[in-house]
Amino acid sequence: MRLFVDYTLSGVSAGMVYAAVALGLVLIWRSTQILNFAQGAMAMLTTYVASTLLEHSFGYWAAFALALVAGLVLGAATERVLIRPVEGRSAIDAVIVAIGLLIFLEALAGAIWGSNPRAFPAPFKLVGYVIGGQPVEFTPFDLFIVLAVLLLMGLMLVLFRFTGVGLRMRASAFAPEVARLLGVRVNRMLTLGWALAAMAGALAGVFVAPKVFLSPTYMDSILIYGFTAAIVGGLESPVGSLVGGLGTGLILSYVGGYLGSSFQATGALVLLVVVLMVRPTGLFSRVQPRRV
Amino acid sequence: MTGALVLEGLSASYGPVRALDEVSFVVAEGSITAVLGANGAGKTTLLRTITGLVRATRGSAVYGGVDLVGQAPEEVVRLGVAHVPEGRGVIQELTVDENLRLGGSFRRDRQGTRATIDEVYAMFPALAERRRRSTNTLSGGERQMLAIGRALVAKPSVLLLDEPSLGLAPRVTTRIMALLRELVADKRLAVLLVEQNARSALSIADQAVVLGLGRVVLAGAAAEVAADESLRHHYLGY
Amino acid sequence: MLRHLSFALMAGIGCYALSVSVSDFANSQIATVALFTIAIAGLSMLTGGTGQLSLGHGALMAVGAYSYAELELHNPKVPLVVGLAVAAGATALAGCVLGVAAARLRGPYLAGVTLALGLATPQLADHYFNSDQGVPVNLTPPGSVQPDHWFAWITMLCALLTLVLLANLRKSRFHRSFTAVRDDEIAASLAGISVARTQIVAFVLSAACAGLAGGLLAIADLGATPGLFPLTLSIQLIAGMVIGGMGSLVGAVWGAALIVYIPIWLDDIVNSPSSTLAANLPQIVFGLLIIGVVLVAPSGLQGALRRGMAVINRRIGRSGAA
Repeated sequence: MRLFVDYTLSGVSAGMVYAAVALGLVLIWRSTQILNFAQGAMAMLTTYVASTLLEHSFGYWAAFALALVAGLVLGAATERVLIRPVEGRSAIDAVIVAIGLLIFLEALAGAIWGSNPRAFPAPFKLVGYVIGGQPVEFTPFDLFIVLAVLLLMGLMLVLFRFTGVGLRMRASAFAPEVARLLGVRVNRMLTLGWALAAMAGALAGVFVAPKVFLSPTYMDSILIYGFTAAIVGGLESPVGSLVGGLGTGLILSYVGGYLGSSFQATGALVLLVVVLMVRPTGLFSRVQPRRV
Repeated sequence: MTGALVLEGLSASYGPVRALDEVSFVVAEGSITAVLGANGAGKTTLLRTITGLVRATRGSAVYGGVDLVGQAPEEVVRLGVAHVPEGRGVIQELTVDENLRLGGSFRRDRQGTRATIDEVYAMFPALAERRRRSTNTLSGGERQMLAIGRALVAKPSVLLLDEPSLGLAPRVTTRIMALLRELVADKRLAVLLVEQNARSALSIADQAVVLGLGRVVLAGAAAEVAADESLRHHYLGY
Repeated sequence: MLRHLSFALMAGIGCYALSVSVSDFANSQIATVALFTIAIAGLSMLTGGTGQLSLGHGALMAVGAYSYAELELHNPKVPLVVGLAVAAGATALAGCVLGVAAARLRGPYLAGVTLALGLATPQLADHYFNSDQGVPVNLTPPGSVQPDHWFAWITMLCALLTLVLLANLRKSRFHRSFTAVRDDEIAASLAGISVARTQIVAFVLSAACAGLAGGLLAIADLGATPGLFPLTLSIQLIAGMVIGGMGSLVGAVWGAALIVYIPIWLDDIVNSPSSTLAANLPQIVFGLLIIGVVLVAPSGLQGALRRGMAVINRRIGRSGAA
């Protein structure tokens, strides 16, 4: 029973990280119909930036904030330089560009910082809370992660539902041509979408690093789990990302705990397949599945 | 005439196909020009070329001293030329109010925009009732009103409409046409009205331009075109 | 068919000549290029042909490798041809399963599933098949032939056969239905083409190629181990496909060669083997090449070569007339 509680709690915290990654993927998918396979690598890069800042005596929160800013910049630059040229072309082209970017960023990080894993600090204690005399698998840092991601989601929701920018971004995603006729600078909205997505990724990157150590490839499996979360949630809504993230986090936590951590990727695969067989376009999607 | 939209030699192609060929005419301020012709004659292409969704290969479309050719669509509307596209382009994922707000999203003055939106609601009470609702519940006629209203929130001086009567019952069409006539009188808009339904378009238009295979085959006062039976048979099908 | 065969025959003779004139080590490199050619050609046919992107072809190669290794482990006398056929066949079956999934899923969802597959496979292999020591494989060449040479001939022969078969496929009605499905599914199904069946067939064929390549890889590495099939393998196959020229058979050869030789060339250029830059330079180059190819030269190296040849031909034509 205690194990179950532990797995549940750590699943929630991991799930929030996957939700943040999923949110980034969904943002980009909704606005540009592209799968950003480089999402994890971009987060890795911004986390290395934070790590370097920390080495140069920046405080944690300054480095944290600058990592998020770096995410905004990296996302905007990527869309402007690499993705804009292929936006009108077939979907595969943009995916391949993202894969190329993934390879490049991981190798670049390896070249600059080496591939030896390095430690990354957490802003809060990594010692579990004590409940009923027993320590549980949930730390103040985990609580911070949950709250921070919830805040991120909340801010995104407010942005989209209640602001002019959000309205323009949604219009650009739903009906780009009509939006242009109404004066929306759709291209700028797309850049903004990528910037916000990369910022969400940067957040995830900084949250993962303390537990698994920073290395050029440390976000690879997180990307895939974030992917799973996004797809389970439907690639269409931030709410879906949250639910998908939590669901994925919990299931993978149970799989890893009861069956062994080497089965986590398999767990993700099975989860993906099961969800997609039942609803080929994800749980929350309103899109019609293909009829063949 | 600074209030007029002047088209001069406007041409556009889809690959090797000439969709528009040297189209020239003037849409005066405070008037309605009906653009008529068979399917595929280039009517929709004409509007799309003016607002920049299709790139013109030759010619110009000047309004207010600025050539619209070469401008991106999102800039054209900022210059005062609004386009209600074919099929209305009502964004289903947004509510009625959000659609309207979107129409004015590029405007700097919040107050003015809100005032214009209120005007639109006054003009279309049916929309006012449904402002927070999804656009799914709107009838065809209401959707057309929303599309027109949305274009009006941009406070345009030139209004391009692509087949507003499409899919609408005759009674509704008559209402919409009457509405357009009122708008033009009220706000001195220059309206370019593309229509398949020549009869209803001619009933409110001042000028008529008939397109065939991308070219202007006929241009003249709407009343004359409407009165000329052989013309109507030949080009307009009635 | 005849044209392809005669071309292959000439290529085969050329390959043999190449093999006997270079070192043992070069032979093993050539063998690696040949087996990657098979995998990339299969992937290219799938993605370039039907527009489905698979990020899990490394996993399919693993299926082939382990099938071959397990078969040989339990039946040491099994002939090479049979072993490889089994490898290809087993993987074709896996491809069938994937194909069925692919038919039901839209592009990004399929990509996600194959990505997860690519990640899960080494873990599964590790768990079920003798963990990181894997399953050993043996290859005994006949008589006094050098094992590296022997293996090079085998792989080159397999590669040529695969290319010939795929080239013939190009001319068949299958290819037309592939292209139809890639360009417009709805139109294709209206024209009477079964979209699902076409996609499944493409996956099966593509998987068979990957399985064959996997079997050969197991032989090359003297065994099937999880370490041979990380996620990066799937990504490298995509890199090779794109840079060489997506959808092109000759492009597969270029792609395979580039994957194998670029790291080696870069190693020679950058003379400090221990620096982190040297270690990562190949991947930096691959990443940039992939991006560059898509942005600037979408048909990859083969496409660029073809355009270059066309330009040269025109120049020759002109000077000939003058």
